[in-house]
Amino acid sequence: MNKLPRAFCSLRKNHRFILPLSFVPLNNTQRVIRSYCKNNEKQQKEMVVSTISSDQDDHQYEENVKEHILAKALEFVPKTGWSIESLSQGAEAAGYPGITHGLFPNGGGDLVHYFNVKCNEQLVEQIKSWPKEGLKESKLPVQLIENAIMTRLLMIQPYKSTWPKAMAIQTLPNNVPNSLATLLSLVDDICYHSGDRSVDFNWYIRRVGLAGIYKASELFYLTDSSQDSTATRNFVKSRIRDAELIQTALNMNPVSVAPQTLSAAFVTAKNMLGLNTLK
Amino acid sequence: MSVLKRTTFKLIQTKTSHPMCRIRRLSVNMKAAPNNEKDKNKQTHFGFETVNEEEKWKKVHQVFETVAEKYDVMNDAMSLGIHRIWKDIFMHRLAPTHGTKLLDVAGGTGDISFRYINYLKNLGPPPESKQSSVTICDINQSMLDVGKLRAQRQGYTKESCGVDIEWMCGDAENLSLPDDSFTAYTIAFGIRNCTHVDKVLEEAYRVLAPGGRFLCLEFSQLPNSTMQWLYDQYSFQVIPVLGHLIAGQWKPYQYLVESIRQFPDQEKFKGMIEDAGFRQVTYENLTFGVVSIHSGFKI
Repeated sequence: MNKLPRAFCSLRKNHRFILPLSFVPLNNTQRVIRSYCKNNEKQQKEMVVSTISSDQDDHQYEENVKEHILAKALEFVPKTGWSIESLSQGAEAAGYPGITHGLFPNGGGDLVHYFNVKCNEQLVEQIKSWPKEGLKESKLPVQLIENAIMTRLLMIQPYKSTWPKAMAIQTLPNNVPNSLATLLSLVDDICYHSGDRSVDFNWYIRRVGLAGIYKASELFYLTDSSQDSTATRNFVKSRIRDAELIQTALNMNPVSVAPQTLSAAFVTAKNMLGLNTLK
Repeated sequence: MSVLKRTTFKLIQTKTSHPMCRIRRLSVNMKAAPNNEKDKNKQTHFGFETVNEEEKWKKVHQVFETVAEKYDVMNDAMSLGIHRIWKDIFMHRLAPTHGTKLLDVAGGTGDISFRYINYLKNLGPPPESKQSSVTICDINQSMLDVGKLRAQRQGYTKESCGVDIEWMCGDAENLSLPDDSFTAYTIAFGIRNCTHVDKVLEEAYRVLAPGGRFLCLEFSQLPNSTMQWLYDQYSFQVIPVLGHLIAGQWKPYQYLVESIRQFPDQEKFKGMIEDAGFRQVTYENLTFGVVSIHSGFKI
Protein backbone atom coordinates (compact mmCIF):
# COMPACT_ATOMS: atom_id res chain seq x y z
CA MET A 1 0.00 0.00 0.00
CA ASN A 2 3.00 2.25 0.57
CA LYS A 3 3.86 1.95 -3.02
CA LEU A 4 0.62 3.38 -4.23
CA PRO A 5 1.19 7.07 -3.40
CA ARG A 6 4.73 6.80 -4.69
CA ALA A 7 3.37 5.42 -7.91
CA PHE A 8 1.06 8.36 -8.25
CA CYS A 9 3.98 10.68 -7.68
CA SER A 10 6.03 8.97 -10.26
CA LEU A 11 3.12 9.05 -12.62
CA ARG A 12 3.12 12.78 -12.27
CA LYS A 13 6.88 13.06 -12.61
CA ASN A 14 7.77 10.47 -15.13
CA HIS A 15 6.14 7.51 -16.75
CA ARG A 16 9.15 5.33 -16.56
CA PHE A 17 9.05 4.87 -12.82
CA ILE A 18 5.84 3.02 -12.94
CA LEU A 19 7.30 0.30 -15.07
CA PRO A 20 9.73 -1.13 -12.54
CA LEU A 21 7.11 -0.91 -9.84
CA SER A 22 4.65 -2.98 -11.73
CA PHE A 23 7.18 -5.41 -13.06
CA VAL A 24 9.19 -6.22 -10.01
CA PRO A 25 6.61 -8.28 -8.19
CA LEU A 26 5.77 -10.11 -11.37
CA ASN A 27 9.37 -11.06 -11.85
CA ASN A 28 9.62 -12.13 -8.27
CA THR A 29 6.72 -14.49 -8.51
CA GLN A 30 8.17 -15.92 -11.66
CA ARG A 31 11.43 -16.56 -9.95
CA VAL A 32 9.68 -18.21 -7.06
CA ILE A 33 7.81 -20.52 -9.40
CA ARG A 34 10.93 -21.31 -11.30
CA SER A 35 12.87 -22.20 -8.19
CA TYR A 36 10.04 -24.47 -7.07
CA CYS A 37 10.19 -26.19 -10.38
CA LYS A 38 13.90 -26.70 -10.03
CA ASN A 39 13.47 -28.20 -6.60
CA ASN A 40 10.83 -30.55 -7.88
CA GLU A 41 13.00 -31.65 -10.74
CA LYS A 42 15.85 -32.36 -8.38
CA GLN A 43 13.67 -34.37 -6.07
CA GLN A 44 12.17 -36.32 -8.92
CA LYS A 45 15.58 -37.11 -10.30
CA GLU A 46 16.77 -38.36 -6.95
CA MET A 47 13.66 -40.49 -6.61
CA VAL A 48 14.13 -42.01 -10.04
CA VAL A 49 17.78 -42.72 -9.41
CA SER A 50 17.04 -44.41 -6.11
CA THR A 51 14.33 -46.65 -7.54
CA ILE A 52 16.55 -47.61 -10.46
CA SER A 53 19.43 -48.48 -8.18
CA SER A 54 17.17 -50.59 -5.94
CA ASP A 55 15.83 -52.34 -9.03
CA GLN A 56 19.39 -53.03 -10.08
CA ASP A 57 20.21 -54.30 -6.62
CA ASP A 58 17.22 -56.62 -6.76
CA HIS A 59 18.23 -57.82 -10.18
CA GLN A 60 21.82 -58.29 -9.07
CA TYR A 61 20.65 -60.24 -6.04
CA GLU A 62 18.53 -62.55 -8.15
CA GLU A 63 21.38 -63.06 -10.60
CA ASN A 64 23.74 -63.88 -7.74
CA VAL A 65 21.38 -66.51 -6.38
CA LYS A 66 21.06 -68.03 -9.83
CA GLU A 67 24.82 -68.07 -10.42
CA HIS A 68 25.40 -69.64 -7.05
CA ILE A 69 22.97 -72.46 -7.85
CA LEU A 70 24.38 -72.95 -11.36
CA ALA A 71 27.95 -73.08 -10.09
CA LYS A 72 26.97 -75.76 -7.58
CA ALA A 73 24.96 -77.64 -10.22
CA LEU A 74 28.05 -77.96 -12.45
CA GLU A 75 29.59 -80.23 -9.82
CA PHE A 76 26.82 -82.76 -10.38
CA VAL A 77 26.99 -82.72 -14.17
CA PRO A 78 29.48 -85.61 -14.60
CA LYS A 79 27.05 -87.81 -12.67
CA THR A 80 23.57 -86.70 -13.68
CA GLY A 81 24.26 -84.81 -16.90
CA TRP A 82 22.99 -81.44 -18.11
CA SER A 83 19.59 -81.94 -16.60
CA ILE A 84 16.99 -80.63 -14.18
CA GLU A 85 18.24 -83.25 -11.75
CA SER A 86 21.67 -81.62 -11.61
CA LEU A 87 20.03 -78.23 -11.17
CA SER A 88 17.90 -79.38 -8.26
CA GLN A 89 20.91 -81.06 -6.64
CA GLY A 90 22.81 -77.82 -7.14
CA ALA A 91 19.99 -75.89 -5.53
CA GLU A 92 20.09 -78.21 -2.55
CA ALA A 93 23.86 -77.80 -2.30
CA ALA A 94 23.35 -74.04 -2.31
CA GLY A 95 20.96 -74.32 0.62
CA TYR A 96 17.65 -74.14 -1.23
CA PRO A 97 15.02 -76.84 -1.71
CA GLY A 98 15.29 -78.95 -4.88
CA ILE A 99 12.21 -77.34 -6.37
CA THR A 100 14.13 -74.07 -6.81
CA HIS A 101 15.35 -75.50 -10.11
CA GLY A 102 12.22 -73.81 -11.50
CA LEU A 103 14.33 -70.62 -11.62
CA PHE A 104 15.71 -72.06 -14.85
CA PRO A 105 12.77 -72.69 -17.15
CA ASN A 106 15.07 -74.00 -19.89
CA GLY A 107 16.46 -76.67 -17.58
CA GLY A 108 19.66 -78.18 -18.95
CA GLY A 109 19.82 -75.49 -21.63
CA ASP A 110 20.37 -72.80 -19.03
CA LEU A 111 23.08 -74.87 -17.38
CA VAL A 112 24.95 -75.37 -20.67
CA HIS A 113 24.63 -71.67 -21.43
CA TYR A 114 26.05 -70.75 -18.04
CA PHE A 115 28.96 -73.12 -18.58
CA ASN A 116 29.72 -71.64 -22.01
CA VAL A 117 29.60 -68.07 -20.74
CA LYS A 118 31.87 -68.91 -17.81
CA CYS A 119 34.40 -70.67 -20.06
CA ASN A 120 34.45 -67.76 -22.51
CA GLU A 121 35.17 -65.36 -19.66
CA GLN A 122 37.99 -67.57 -18.41
CA LEU A 123 39.45 -67.82 -21.89
CA VAL A 124 39.53 -64.04 -22.32
CA GLU A 125 41.28 -63.72 -18.96
CA GLN A 126 43.89 -66.23 -20.09
CA ILE A 127 44.44 -64.75 -23.54
CA LYS A 128 45.04 -61.33 -22.02
CA SER A 129 47.97 -62.74 -20.05
CA TRP A 130 49.62 -64.35 -23.09
CA PRO A 131 52.64 -62.66 -24.73
CA LYS A 132 51.60 -60.30 -27.49
CA GLU A 133 54.73 -60.60 -29.66
CA GLY A 134 54.33 -61.09 -33.34
CA LEU A 135 50.80 -59.72 -33.43
CA LYS A 136 51.86 -56.57 -35.26
CA GLU A 137 53.12 -58.51 -38.26
CA SER A 138 50.85 -58.86 -41.22
CA LYS A 139 51.01 -62.63 -40.95
CA LEU A 140 48.13 -64.51 -39.35
CA PRO A 141 48.77 -65.20 -35.63
CA VAL A 142 48.32 -68.92 -36.21
CA GLN A 143 49.92 -70.02 -32.97
CA LEU A 144 47.71 -67.78 -30.83
CA ILE A 145 44.48 -68.90 -32.50
CA GLU A 146 45.50 -72.53 -32.18
CA ASN A 147 46.31 -72.10 -28.50
CA ALA A 148 43.06 -70.26 -27.86
CA ILE A 149 40.97 -72.97 -29.48
CA MET A 150 42.82 -75.72 -27.66
CA THR A 151 42.53 -73.96 -24.29
CA ARG A 152 38.82 -73.53 -24.78
CA LEU A 153 38.35 -77.15 -25.87
CA LEU A 154 40.26 -78.49 -22.88
CA MET A 155 37.86 -76.66 -20.57
CA ILE A 156 35.28 -79.27 -21.59
CA GLN A 157 37.59 -82.03 -20.32
CA PRO A 158 35.85 -82.60 -16.94
CA TYR A 159 32.49 -82.95 -18.66
CA LYS A 160 33.70 -84.80 -21.75
CA SER A 161 31.50 -87.85 -21.18
CA THR A 162 28.33 -85.76 -21.04
CA TRP A 163 29.32 -83.15 -23.61
CA PRO A 164 27.66 -84.84 -26.62
CA LYS A 165 24.35 -84.39 -24.85
CA ALA A 166 25.18 -80.77 -24.13
CA MET A 167 25.84 -80.22 -27.83
CA ALA A 168 22.48 -81.79 -28.61
CA ILE A 169 20.77 -79.55 -26.04
CA GLN A 170 22.37 -76.52 -27.68
CA THR A 171 20.74 -77.37 -30.99
CA LEU A 172 17.22 -77.48 -29.52
CA PRO A 173 15.22 -74.62 -31.06
CA ASN A 174 14.69 -72.69 -27.81
CA ASN A 175 18.40 -72.86 -26.97
CA VAL A 176 19.72 -71.93 -30.41
CA PRO A 177 19.80 -68.13 -29.84
CA ASN A 178 21.82 -68.53 -26.65
CA SER A 179 24.27 -71.04 -28.09
CA LEU A 180 24.85 -68.94 -31.22
CA ALA A 181 25.44 -65.87 -29.06
CA THR A 182 28.04 -67.63 -26.93
CA LEU A 183 29.75 -69.05 -30.01
CA LEU A 184 29.88 -65.60 -31.61
CA SER A 185 31.25 -64.00 -28.45
CA LEU A 186 33.89 -66.75 -28.27
CA VAL A 187 35.16 -66.29 -31.84
CA ASP A 188 34.83 -62.53 -31.53
CA ASP A 189 37.05 -62.53 -28.44
CA ILE A 190 39.63 -64.74 -30.10
CA CYS A 191 39.69 -62.57 -33.23
CA TYR A 192 39.92 -59.34 -31.27
CA HIS A 193 42.71 -60.51 -29.00
CA SER A 194 44.67 -61.95 -31.91
CA GLY A 195 44.82 -58.44 -33.34
CA ASP A 196 41.92 -58.37 -35.82
CA ARG A 197 40.73 -54.77 -36.23
CA SER A 198 39.09 -55.15 -39.61
CA VAL A 199 35.96 -53.16 -40.39
CA ASP A 200 35.27 -54.59 -43.83
CA PHE A 201 33.81 -57.82 -45.11
CA ASN A 202 36.79 -59.72 -43.69
CA TRP A 203 35.26 -59.23 -40.24
CA TYR A 204 32.48 -61.64 -41.13
CA ILE A 205 34.69 -64.08 -43.01
CA ARG A 206 37.11 -64.40 -40.13
CA ARG A 207 34.44 -64.95 -37.52
CA VAL A 208 32.38 -67.40 -39.50
CA GLY A 209 35.54 -69.25 -40.50
CA LEU A 210 36.77 -69.46 -36.93
CA ALA A 211 33.36 -70.59 -35.69
CA GLY A 212 33.42 -73.37 -38.25
CA ILE A 213 36.89 -74.44 -37.18
CA TYR A 214 35.90 -74.39 -33.53
CA LYS A 215 32.75 -76.44 -33.95
CA ALA A 216 34.52 -78.99 -36.18
CA SER A 217 37.32 -79.32 -33.63
CA GLU A 218 34.77 -79.73 -30.84
CA LEU A 219 33.21 -82.66 -32.65
CA PHE A 220 36.63 -84.17 -33.32
CA TYR A 221 37.62 -83.73 -29.69
CA LEU A 222 34.65 -85.79 -28.45
CA THR A 223 36.06 -88.98 -29.95
CA ASP A 224 39.71 -88.13 -29.40
CA SER A 225 41.36 -90.55 -26.98
CA SER A 226 44.99 -89.71 -27.77
CA GLN A 227 47.53 -88.70 -25.15
CA ASP A 228 47.15 -85.01 -24.19
CA SER A 229 44.68 -84.60 -27.06
CA THR A 230 47.48 -84.34 -29.60
CA ALA A 231 45.18 -85.59 -32.34
CA THR A 232 42.82 -82.69 -31.71
CA ARG A 233 45.72 -80.26 -31.77
CA ASN A 234 46.83 -81.61 -35.15
CA PHE A 235 43.27 -81.39 -36.39
CA VAL A 236 43.01 -77.75 -35.31
CA LYS A 237 46.37 -77.02 -36.98
CA SER A 238 45.32 -78.45 -40.30
CA ARG A 239 41.95 -76.64 -40.21
CA ILE A 240 43.72 -73.34 -39.62
CA ARG A 241 46.02 -74.12 -42.53
CA ASP A 242 42.96 -74.72 -44.68
CA ALA A 243 41.58 -71.37 -43.64
CA GLU A 244 44.87 -69.72 -44.53
CA LEU A 245 44.73 -71.27 -47.99
CA ILE A 246 41.21 -70.01 -48.49
CA GLN A 247 42.26 -66.56 -47.45
CA THR A 248 45.17 -66.46 -49.86
CA ALA A 249 42.77 -67.57 -52.56
CA LEU A 250 40.41 -64.77 -51.60
CA ASN A 251 43.28 -62.31 -51.60
CA MET A 252 43.91 -63.15 -55.25
CA ASN A 253 40.60 -61.36 -55.73
CA PRO A 254 38.51 -63.82 -57.67
CA VAL A 255 35.71 -61.25 -58.00
CA SER A 256 37.66 -59.19 -60.54
CA VAL A 257 38.47 -62.34 -62.48
CA ALA A 258 34.84 -63.45 -62.44
CA PRO A 259 33.60 -61.66 -65.60
CA GLN A 260 36.41 -63.19 -67.68
CA THR A 261 35.71 -66.63 -66.27
CA LEU A 262 32.01 -66.21 -66.98
CA SER A 263 32.48 -65.05 -70.55
CA ALA A 264 34.92 -67.89 -71.19
CA ALA A 265 32.36 -70.36 -69.88
CA PHE A 266 29.67 -68.73 -71.99
CA VAL A 267 31.80 -68.96 -75.16
CA THR A 268 32.58 -72.59 -74.44
CA ALA A 269 28.90 -73.33 -73.97
CA LYS A 270 28.07 -71.57 -77.23
CA ASN A 271 30.73 -73.58 -79.03
CA MET A 272 29.40 -76.80 -77.64
CA LEU A 273 25.89 -75.97 -78.75
CA GLY A 274 27.19 -75.01 -82.16
CA LEU A 275 25.80 -71.49 -81.92
CA ASN A 276 29.04 -69.94 -83.16
CA THR A 277 28.71 -71.49 -86.54
CA LEU A 278 25.24 -70.07 -87.16
CA LYS A 279 25.83 -66.42 -88.26
CA MET B 1 -32.47 -43.88 0.82
CA SER B 2 -30.23 -45.21 -1.87
CA VAL B 3 -29.79 -48.44 0.06
CA LEU B 4 -33.52 -48.91 0.31
CA LYS B 5 -33.86 -48.29 -3.39
CA ARG B 6 -31.21 -50.84 -4.18
CA THR B 7 -32.87 -53.39 -1.98
CA THR B 8 -36.18 -52.99 -3.69
CA PHE B 9 -34.51 -53.05 -7.06
CA LYS B 10 -32.82 -56.32 -6.20
CA LEU B 11 -36.10 -57.70 -4.98
CA ILE B 12 -37.66 -56.96 -8.30
CA GLN B 13 -34.72 -58.47 -10.08
CA THR B 14 -34.87 -61.72 -8.19
CA LYS B 15 -38.59 -62.17 -8.52
CA THR B 16 -38.12 -64.48 -11.45
CA SER B 17 -35.86 -66.86 -9.55
CA HIS B 18 -36.76 -69.56 -7.09
CA PRO B 19 -38.92 -68.41 -4.12
CA MET B 20 -36.46 -69.84 -1.60
CA CYS B 21 -33.69 -67.94 -3.21
CA ARG B 22 -35.69 -64.75 -2.94
CA ILE B 23 -36.18 -65.15 0.75
CA ARG B 24 -32.50 -65.77 1.32
CA ARG B 25 -31.63 -62.74 -0.68
CA LEU B 26 -34.05 -60.59 1.17
CA SER B 27 -32.62 -61.56 4.51
CA VAL B 28 -29.10 -61.03 3.29
CA ASN B 29 -29.92 -57.59 2.01
CA MET B 30 -31.64 -56.61 5.23
CA LYS B 31 -28.58 -57.61 7.16
CA ALA B 32 -26.21 -55.89 4.81
CA ALA B 33 -28.03 -52.61 4.74
CA PRO B 34 -26.83 -51.09 8.04
CA ASN B 35 -23.26 -52.24 7.44
CA ASN B 36 -23.24 -50.60 4.06
CA GLU B 37 -23.83 -47.26 5.61
CA LYS B 38 -21.17 -47.64 8.25
CA ASP B 39 -18.18 -48.66 6.21
CA LYS B 40 -18.58 -48.58 2.49
CA ASN B 41 -14.90 -49.20 1.83
CA LYS B 42 -15.16 -52.72 3.18
CA GLN B 43 -17.13 -53.88 0.20
CA THR B 44 -15.96 -56.33 -2.37
CA HIS B 45 -17.28 -57.96 -5.49
CA PHE B 46 -19.11 -61.20 -5.84
CA GLY B 47 -19.25 -61.72 -9.55
CA PHE B 48 -20.67 -58.43 -10.84
CA GLU B 49 -22.51 -57.74 -7.60
CA THR B 50 -21.04 -55.52 -4.93
CA VAL B 51 -21.39 -57.20 -1.58
CA ASN B 52 -20.17 -56.93 1.95
CA GLU B 53 -16.88 -58.69 2.63
CA GLU B 54 -18.32 -61.18 5.11
CA GLU B 55 -21.11 -61.89 2.72
CA LYS B 56 -18.72 -62.82 -0.07
CA TRP B 57 -17.15 -65.46 2.10
CA LYS B 58 -20.55 -67.00 2.79
CA LYS B 59 -21.66 -66.79 -0.79
CA VAL B 60 -18.51 -68.40 -2.17
CA HIS B 61 -18.92 -71.07 0.45
CA GLN B 62 -22.47 -71.70 -0.71
CA VAL B 63 -21.42 -71.86 -4.36
CA PHE B 64 -18.87 -74.55 -3.71
CA GLU B 65 -21.13 -76.51 -1.43
CA THR B 66 -23.69 -76.70 -4.18
CA VAL B 67 -21.29 -77.55 -7.00
CA ALA B 68 -18.99 -79.97 -5.14
CA GLU B 69 -20.72 -83.13 -6.34
CA LYS B 70 -20.92 -82.22 -9.99
CA TYR B 71 -17.60 -80.39 -9.93
CA ASP B 72 -15.70 -82.75 -12.20
CA VAL B 73 -18.46 -83.31 -14.70
CA MET B 74 -19.04 -79.59 -15.03
CA ASN B 75 -15.35 -78.81 -15.43
CA ASP B 76 -15.15 -81.29 -18.26
CA ALA B 77 -18.29 -79.99 -19.90
CA MET B 78 -17.39 -76.32 -19.66
CA SER B 79 -13.77 -76.55 -20.77
CA LEU B 80 -14.31 -79.46 -23.18
CA GLY B 81 -11.84 -81.44 -21.10
CA ILE B 82 -9.04 -78.92 -21.59
CA HIS B 83 -8.82 -78.20 -17.85
CA ARG B 84 -7.08 -81.55 -17.48
CA ILE B 85 -4.39 -80.45 -19.90
CA TRP B 86 -4.03 -77.13 -18.13
CA LYS B 87 -3.50 -78.93 -14.84
CA ASP B 88 -1.02 -81.34 -16.44
CA ILE B 89 0.98 -78.43 -17.84
CA PHE B 90 0.77 -76.73 -14.47
CA MET B 91 2.31 -79.74 -12.74
CA HIS B 92 4.92 -80.00 -15.47
CA ARG B 93 5.95 -76.40 -14.83
CA LEU B 94 6.25 -77.08 -11.12
CA ALA B 95 8.35 -80.19 -11.88
CA PRO B 96 8.54 -81.36 -8.26
CA THR B 97 11.52 -83.34 -7.03
CA HIS B 98 11.71 -85.92 -4.28
CA GLY B 99 11.65 -84.20 -0.92
CA THR B 100 9.22 -81.49 -2.00
CA LYS B 101 6.77 -80.32 0.61
CA LEU B 102 3.72 -79.11 -1.24
CA LEU B 103 0.87 -77.07 0.11
CA ASP B 104 -2.03 -77.33 -2.30
CA VAL B 105 -4.46 -74.59 -1.38
CA ALA B 106 -8.03 -74.67 -2.66
CA GLY B 107 -7.25 -78.17 -3.88
CA GLY B 108 -10.14 -79.92 -2.19
CA THR B 109 -10.91 -82.31 -5.00
CA GLY B 110 -7.26 -83.34 -5.23
CA ASP B 111 -6.82 -82.56 -8.93
CA ILE B 112 -3.41 -81.00 -8.42
CA SER B 113 -2.31 -83.26 -5.57
CA PHE B 114 -2.95 -86.49 -7.46
CA ARG B 115 -0.99 -85.16 -10.40
CA TYR B 116 1.82 -84.24 -8.02
CA ILE B 117 1.86 -87.76 -6.59
CA ASN B 118 1.90 -89.24 -10.08
CA TYR B 119 4.73 -86.95 -11.15
CA LEU B 120 6.84 -88.08 -8.19
CA LYS B 121 6.00 -91.70 -8.95
CA ASN B 122 7.26 -91.29 -12.51
CA LEU B 123 10.56 -89.84 -11.27
CA GLY B 124 11.44 -93.26 -9.90
CA PRO B 125 11.95 -94.52 -6.39
CA PRO B 126 12.88 -91.77 -3.93
CA PRO B 127 16.18 -91.73 -2.04
CA GLU B 128 15.71 -92.80 1.56
CA SER B 129 16.53 -89.45 3.09
CA LYS B 130 13.95 -87.55 1.07
CA GLN B 131 10.33 -87.79 2.11
CA SER B 132 7.86 -85.86 -0.03
CA SER B 133 4.60 -84.63 1.34
CA VAL B 134 1.45 -82.87 0.24
CA THR B 135 -0.97 -80.91 2.40
CA ILE B 136 -4.32 -80.32 0.80
CA CYS B 137 -6.01 -77.27 2.20
CA ASP B 138 -9.51 -76.14 1.34
CA ILE B 139 -11.91 -73.79 3.05
CA ASN B 140 -14.83 -76.03 2.16
CA GLN B 141 -15.32 -79.35 3.91
CA SER B 142 -17.64 -80.69 1.18
CA MET B 143 -14.94 -80.21 -1.46
CA LEU B 144 -12.44 -81.98 0.81
CA ASP B 145 -14.91 -84.84 1.23
CA VAL B 146 -15.12 -85.23 -2.54
CA GLY B 147 -11.34 -85.30 -2.70
CA LYS B 148 -10.97 -87.84 0.11
CA LEU B 149 -13.48 -90.13 -1.55
CA ARG B 150 -11.62 -89.88 -4.84
CA ALA B 151 -8.28 -90.58 -3.16
CA GLN B 152 -9.78 -93.68 -1.60
CA ARG B 153 -11.25 -94.90 -4.86
CA GLN B 154 -8.13 -94.28 -6.92
CA GLY B 155 -5.85 -95.72 -4.26
CA TYR B 156 -3.80 -92.69 -3.29
CA THR B 157 -2.67 -93.59 0.21
CA LYS B 158 0.60 -93.01 2.00
CA GLU B 159 1.52 -96.68 1.80
CA SER B 160 0.85 -97.04 -1.91
CA CYS B 161 2.62 -93.92 -3.16
CA GLY B 162 5.19 -93.09 -0.48
CA VAL B 163 3.99 -89.49 -0.15
CA ASP B 164 2.55 -88.09 3.06
CA ILE B 165 -0.98 -86.90 2.39
CA GLU B 166 -2.74 -84.60 4.77
CA TRP B 167 -6.19 -83.05 4.45
CA MET B 168 -6.85 -79.76 6.12
CA CYS B 169 -9.83 -77.45 6.29
CA GLY B 170 -8.52 -73.90 6.47
CA ASP B 171 -8.68 -70.37 5.14
CA ALA B 172 -6.05 -69.35 2.59
CA GLU B 173 -6.01 -65.85 4.07
CA ASN B 174 -5.17 -67.13 7.52
CA LEU B 175 -3.33 -70.44 7.43
CA SER B 176 -2.78 -72.18 10.74
CA LEU B 177 0.63 -73.40 9.62
CA PRO B 178 4.13 -72.48 10.84
CA ASP B 179 6.45 -70.16 8.87
CA ASP B 180 8.90 -71.59 6.31
CA SER B 181 7.29 -75.01 6.42
CA PHE B 182 6.71 -75.74 2.71
CA THR B 183 8.85 -75.70 -0.41
CA ALA B 184 6.02 -75.30 -2.90
CA TYR B 185 2.65 -73.60 -2.80
CA THR B 186 0.07 -74.20 -5.50
CA ILE B 187 -3.36 -72.70 -5.89
CA ALA B 188 -5.37 -73.72 -8.92
CA PHE B 189 -8.60 -71.92 -9.75
CA GLY B 190 -8.92 -70.79 -6.16
CA ILE B 191 -7.38 -67.40 -5.59
CA ARG B 192 -10.16 -65.73 -7.58
CA ASN B 193 -12.68 -66.68 -4.92
CA CYS B 194 -10.74 -65.24 -2.01
CA THR B 195 -11.85 -61.92 -0.60
CA HIS B 196 -8.38 -60.50 -0.02
CA VAL B 197 -6.00 -61.70 -2.70
CA ASP B 198 -3.12 -59.72 -1.17
CA LYS B 199 -3.56 -61.48 2.16
CA VAL B 200 -3.51 -64.87 0.46
CA LEU B 201 -0.24 -63.94 -1.24
CA GLU B 202 1.26 -62.74 2.03
CA GLU B 203 0.31 -66.00 3.72
CA ALA B 204 1.83 -67.93 0.84
CA TYR B 205 5.05 -65.98 1.27
CA ARG B 206 5.02 -66.66 4.99
CA VAL B 207 4.58 -70.44 4.90
CA LEU B 208 7.11 -70.95 2.09
CA ALA B 209 10.71 -71.74 2.99
CA PRO B 210 13.48 -69.70 1.30
CA GLY B 211 13.82 -70.95 -2.27
CA GLY B 212 10.21 -72.09 -2.23
CA ARG B 213 8.03 -71.65 -5.26
CA PHE B 214 4.61 -70.09 -5.55
CA LEU B 215 2.61 -71.32 -8.52
CA CYS B 216 -0.90 -70.22 -9.37
CA LEU B 217 -3.24 -71.45 -12.08
CA GLU B 218 -6.06 -69.03 -12.69
CA PHE B 219 -8.44 -67.76 -15.33
CA SER B 220 -7.20 -64.60 -16.95
CA GLN B 221 -7.90 -62.06 -19.68
CA LEU B 222 -7.26 -62.66 -23.36
CA PRO B 223 -4.91 -60.08 -24.88
CA ASN B 224 -6.63 -60.44 -28.25
CA SER B 225 -9.92 -58.51 -28.26
CA THR B 226 -11.60 -60.68 -30.89
CA MET B 227 -10.80 -63.80 -28.96
CA GLN B 228 -11.98 -62.11 -25.78
CA TRP B 229 -15.32 -61.34 -27.46
CA LEU B 230 -15.71 -64.96 -28.55
CA TYR B 231 -14.79 -66.14 -25.10
CA ASP B 232 -17.27 -63.73 -23.51
CA GLN B 233 -20.07 -65.00 -25.71
CA TYR B 234 -19.27 -68.56 -24.74
CA SER B 235 -18.99 -67.71 -21.05
CA PHE B 236 -22.19 -65.75 -20.68
CA GLN B 237 -24.41 -67.56 -23.15
CA VAL B 238 -23.29 -71.16 -22.86
CA ILE B 239 -21.79 -71.83 -19.43
CA PRO B 240 -24.79 -70.90 -17.21
CA VAL B 241 -27.04 -72.94 -19.55
CA LEU B 242 -24.71 -75.90 -19.23
CA GLY B 243 -24.77 -75.48 -15.48
CA HIS B 244 -28.52 -75.50 -15.46
CA LEU B 245 -28.78 -78.52 -17.72
CA ILE B 246 -26.12 -80.71 -16.15
CA ALA B 247 -25.89 -79.66 -12.53
CA GLY B 248 -29.34 -78.09 -12.21
CA GLN B 249 -27.76 -74.85 -11.00
CA TRP B 250 -27.70 -71.53 -12.83
CA LYS B 251 -26.42 -69.07 -10.22
CA PRO B 252 -23.10 -70.69 -9.28
CA TYR B 253 -22.05 -70.78 -12.91
CA GLN B 254 -23.22 -67.25 -13.51
CA TYR B 255 -21.01 -66.33 -10.57
CA LEU B 256 -18.13 -68.33 -12.03
CA VAL B 257 -17.98 -66.40 -15.29
CA GLU B 258 -18.54 -63.07 -13.58
CA SER B 259 -15.78 -63.65 -11.05
CA ILE B 260 -13.40 -64.44 -13.91
CA ARG B 261 -14.08 -61.00 -15.39
CA GLN B 262 -13.47 -59.34 -12.02
CA PHE B 263 -10.07 -60.91 -11.47
CA PRO B 264 -7.07 -58.69 -12.34
CA ASP B 265 -5.33 -59.34 -15.64
CA GLN B 266 -1.91 -60.97 -16.00
CA GLU B 267 0.26 -57.88 -15.58
CA LYS B 268 -1.68 -56.54 -12.63
CA PHE B 269 -1.68 -59.87 -10.83
CA LYS B 270 2.04 -60.18 -11.50
CA GLY B 271 2.51 -56.84 -9.77
CA MET B 272 0.49 -58.07 -6.79
CA ILE B 273 2.66 -61.17 -6.47
CA GLU B 274 5.77 -58.99 -6.57
CA ASP B 275 4.31 -56.73 -3.91
CA ALA B 276 3.95 -59.74 -1.62
CA GLY B 277 7.74 -60.14 -1.78
CA PHE B 278 8.18 -62.81 -4.42
CA ARG B 279 11.05 -62.59 -6.91
CA GLN B 280 11.51 -63.83 -10.47
CA VAL B 281 7.78 -63.46 -11.04
CA THR B 282 6.70 -64.67 -14.46
CA TYR B 283 3.52 -65.79 -16.10
CA GLU B 284 2.61 -68.00 -19.01
CA ASN B 285 -0.65 -67.88 -20.95
CA LEU B 286 -2.42 -71.09 -21.88
CA THR B 287 -5.09 -71.31 -24.58
CA PHE B 288 -4.70 -67.67 -25.72
CA GLY B 289 -4.79 -66.47 -22.11
CA VAL B 290 -8.03 -68.13 -20.96
CA VAL B 291 -5.92 -69.28 -18.06
CA SER B 292 -2.42 -68.32 -17.06
CA ILE B 293 0.23 -69.80 -14.80
CA HIS B 294 1.86 -67.30 -12.47
CA SER B 295 5.13 -68.24 -10.85
CA GLY B 296 7.21 -66.61 -8.15
CA PHE B 297 10.06 -67.53 -5.84
CA LYS B 298 10.87 -66.69 -2.26
CA ILE B 299 14.62 -66.14 -2.56
